[in-house]
Amino acid sequence: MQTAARWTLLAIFLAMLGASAIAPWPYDRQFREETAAAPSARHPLGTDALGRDRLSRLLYGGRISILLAPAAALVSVSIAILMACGAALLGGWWERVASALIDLFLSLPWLFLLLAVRGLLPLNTSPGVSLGVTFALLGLLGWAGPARVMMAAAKRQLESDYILMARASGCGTWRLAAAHLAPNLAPVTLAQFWTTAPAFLLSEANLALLGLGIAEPLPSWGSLLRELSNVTLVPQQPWLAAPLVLLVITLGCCQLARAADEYSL
Amino acid sequence: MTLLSVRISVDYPGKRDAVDQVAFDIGEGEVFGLAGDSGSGKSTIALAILRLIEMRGGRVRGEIRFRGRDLSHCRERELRQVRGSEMSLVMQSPASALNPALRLETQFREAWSNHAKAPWREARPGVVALLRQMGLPCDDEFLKRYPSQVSVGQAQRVVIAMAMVHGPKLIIADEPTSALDPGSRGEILALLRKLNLERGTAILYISHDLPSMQELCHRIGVLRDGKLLSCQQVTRETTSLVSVV
Amino acid sequence: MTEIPARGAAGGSQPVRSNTRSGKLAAAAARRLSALLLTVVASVVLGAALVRLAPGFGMDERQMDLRLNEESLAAMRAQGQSTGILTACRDYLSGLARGDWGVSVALGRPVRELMADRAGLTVRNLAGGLVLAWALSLAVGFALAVARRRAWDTSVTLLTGGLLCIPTGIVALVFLYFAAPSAWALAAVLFPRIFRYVRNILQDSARRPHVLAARARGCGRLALVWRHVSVPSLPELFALVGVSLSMAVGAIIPVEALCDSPGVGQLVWQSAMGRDLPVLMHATVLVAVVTCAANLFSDTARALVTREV
Repeated sequence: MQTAARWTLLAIFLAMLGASAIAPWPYDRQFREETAAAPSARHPLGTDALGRDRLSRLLYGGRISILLAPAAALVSVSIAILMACGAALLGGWWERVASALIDLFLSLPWLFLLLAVRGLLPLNTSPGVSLGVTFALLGLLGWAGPARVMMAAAKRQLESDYILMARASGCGTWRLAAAHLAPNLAPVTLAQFWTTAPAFLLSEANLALLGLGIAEPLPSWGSLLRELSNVTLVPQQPWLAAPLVLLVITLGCCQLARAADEYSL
Repeated sequence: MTLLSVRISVDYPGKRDAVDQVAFDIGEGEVFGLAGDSGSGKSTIALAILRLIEMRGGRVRGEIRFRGRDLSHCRERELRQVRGSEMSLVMQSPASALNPALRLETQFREAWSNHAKAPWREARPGVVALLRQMGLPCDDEFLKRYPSQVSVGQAQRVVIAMAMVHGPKLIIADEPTSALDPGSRGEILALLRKLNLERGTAILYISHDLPSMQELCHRIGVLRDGKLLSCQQVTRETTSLVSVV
Repeated sequence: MTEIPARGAAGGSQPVRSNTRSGKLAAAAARRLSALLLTVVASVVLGAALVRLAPGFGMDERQMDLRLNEESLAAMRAQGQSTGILTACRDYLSGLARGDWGVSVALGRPVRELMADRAGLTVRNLAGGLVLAWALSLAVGFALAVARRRAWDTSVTLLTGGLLCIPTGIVALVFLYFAAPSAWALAAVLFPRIFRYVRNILQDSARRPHVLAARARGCGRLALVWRHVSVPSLPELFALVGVSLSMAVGAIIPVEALCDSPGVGQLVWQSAMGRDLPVLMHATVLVAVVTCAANLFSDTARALVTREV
């Protein structure tokens, strides 16, 4: 089950990466004569209200979502590991400050802040900027959860005997961190990455469903989901749900790809 | 008269024969010791006899005859009738054997009502007398305490008292003194000996501490890597018997 | 045969600790209160900073109007940029203290009024959603712990896993389609998350040694799960209440927005779309306060219930 999930994820990832090769049309090309068309050989998933090919937008959108969510997760987890290691190693006052900072960030209503900033971007923002801002914000605001877990893990590691031995043989703090602590924190870091990346994917989807996602004409899975807000249409046009299905499969595989006994949030 | 006759092997997922064809008998009123290092399978045997090893993921193969009944093929309902009333368990750490969120009286009450229909107020005096025999304070104040409010030695006596509430024929004591300080250790050993002599309760005494076992047990079996190596009678001077008591 | 002397009276700690215990509780409450104030200030500062630094700050739709000439645009831009971060913060904080929450740019009404109008509905939505989600989580968690059947466990895990993959907005849209109340949509969003936590807590509790000991005493299944698994988990469950409130507050925005429920969540969404800074700032502060208060409550409740001294 786990291997199947991992292979599926890899397949999706590669398919999205190769979007420019696979997609039949550019994502912003409008077929004015074929707006809101049903699926056909030319447009396997039909076209949207502006006549753009859905399959191409799905592929290009997937590329954006699948590359940027992990990138933001990487930012978050990197900040988290630096905070965790730094606080645990320096100890004492620094650790208390770090703990307090983490608690603060965790209780901040980051969704509101995200909405506020994203909403306050001017209407003529370039799509690239909105893209960068959205995912940068996710990365910068989402480090607190992983940091808390990793700080607990770092403290536990520092209490073990091999650290004591390293210090006893004169190992300096930085070297201790890099050579001894970091490798042992790798499993926790990986687990946090695998939790955070899907969470960011979901966050972007939620933001986009609210109309505050990436600016047009850049597609992302979230903004494609926006077409589903016209709920009554969906039963008649089930192909509209394609991005949802793909998103659910991807997220499901992320859950299954983790260790079998880790079905936790 | 054989009280318990065990012939079992236990498998864990990923480890077959964690206990490999261990066979021994315990007679009525006998104290049988099982000695071995950590990892030799002692606790596994203790839990397997009570068919609780399934809770830890293990599987029992073989035969467990207790008072003529084969426990290895009994259903959960029948097993529950045996546990606590005919056969009791005393674990290593008294603090973790008691529910930290409930008062001692509540836990005694539950131990009582598991197997008896009579209301608690009828049984309470008997239990209080039991506490006195265990060397515990038997006032109301003590019963209203939480497990965290009594000392470790007292807690272990409470656990033994709870095990004795229904007068079981056999107590399985899994390293009952390992978590105690030396003073309490001697007292618990003396208590177990007293139960054996006064009430005829058989004891399966599991430990890695041979000297204490030689004081308490009639026979000792040695366990290593899941196999029972030997079973020996323990010879004692009568004088040392009196001095312990 | 001599009696074994009672070691009892001297040993064991005496229950004369009510003073220090309530003292500890008071100290913890004070710590949490100061954390609350700090969070309010921090969220205002952080929010104002982010907003001030955002590329769109100081601009509004009027600048998009092609009819305005270059000078007017420049003047407007200068006016917008003149407010520094600290000044903005100071203004908001003093306004907050005074009770003047500013006026909504988009709707033209005092923010306080807007919030008050919509607060009732949001509170009802939140309460309904949380109560439903918790009731379901506890019921299913308890049932799974009693039944002890692997097949049931796996199927519920897969189901909740699947629900976790669906964006909140989509869940809201599904409930909208069936014309169901938005509280139910919120419950559907919260249930898989709360249930997973509850299940983990109960499973950890079931692995503790006293549960094995109780079972060895012949304890029945129902009593086992209630008295020995659930009751000792109460502290952690109380802690989860605070977390679940934070989750609910986060989820209420998409739910109210997409289910067309005119509460505070919808207001915030509309303000974000309409780029209405005063409303957004005050909503942020309000949410921060509510979250901290919830954490304070659940921490205190947990301390009161915990028997670990």
